[in-house]
Amino acid sequence: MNKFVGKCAVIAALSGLAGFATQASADVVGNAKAAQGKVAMCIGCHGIPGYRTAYPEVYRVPMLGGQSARYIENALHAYKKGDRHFETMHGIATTLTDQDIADIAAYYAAQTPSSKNNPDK
Amino acid sequence: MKALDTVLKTACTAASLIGAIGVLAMQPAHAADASNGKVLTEAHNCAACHGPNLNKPVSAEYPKLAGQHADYLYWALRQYQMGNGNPNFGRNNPIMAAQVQSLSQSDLKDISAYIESLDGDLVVKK
Repeated sequence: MNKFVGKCAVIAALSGLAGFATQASADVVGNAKAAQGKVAMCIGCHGIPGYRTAYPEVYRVPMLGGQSARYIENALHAYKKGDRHFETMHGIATTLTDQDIADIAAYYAAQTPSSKNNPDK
Repeated sequence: MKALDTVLKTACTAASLIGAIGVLAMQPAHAADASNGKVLTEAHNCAACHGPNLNKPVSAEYPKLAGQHADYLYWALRQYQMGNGNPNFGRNNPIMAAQVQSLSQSDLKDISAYIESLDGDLVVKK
């Protein structure tokens, strides 16, 4: 009986935590305009057509323009936390706040074929 | 005479080695087959999450894929297969890990070639 209650308490606590985590990131609203000055590190690879990364494998870096904001946000958080492994992106993501991540995600999600290039770059 | 023999033998060995390397190099690499990729993409029901034409995901949590670079897609799929036990590469998404487990590397290349051939929203902009 005690064991069962204990388990329930742990599950409740964990779901509480999970709920809190979702809530915390949901409160941050991305601002594409604010990201204009935050994407210098991204552009060096993702802004060059056909740019390839060299380690640990050689492949063209993914196109980000037009991608879902939520997916980009999750990817950056995963790189930051280490759930998704790639040293370059880990290094960059650890320098970003939750607000920076939301802004950058909104910036790339808003891009279309007719978008102008970043005026700051 | 013996010296000449040795020289000849060495020359012959070298020539046959070069020949063998030449033959190996001329083997065509596996060319990705986008039509097989289409079949596999449909069989694995990729559109159930990534949406029609793999360009309208059913949830914003899932990426748009249509038109994405094939070599990136291939490496992403390979990483789902390998999990994230290595600090330098790997992804641990349980849904994708289950999806790719049964696929060979040539299947993954076919799928990637098919996805790259689709028209989608993705663009490269500064």
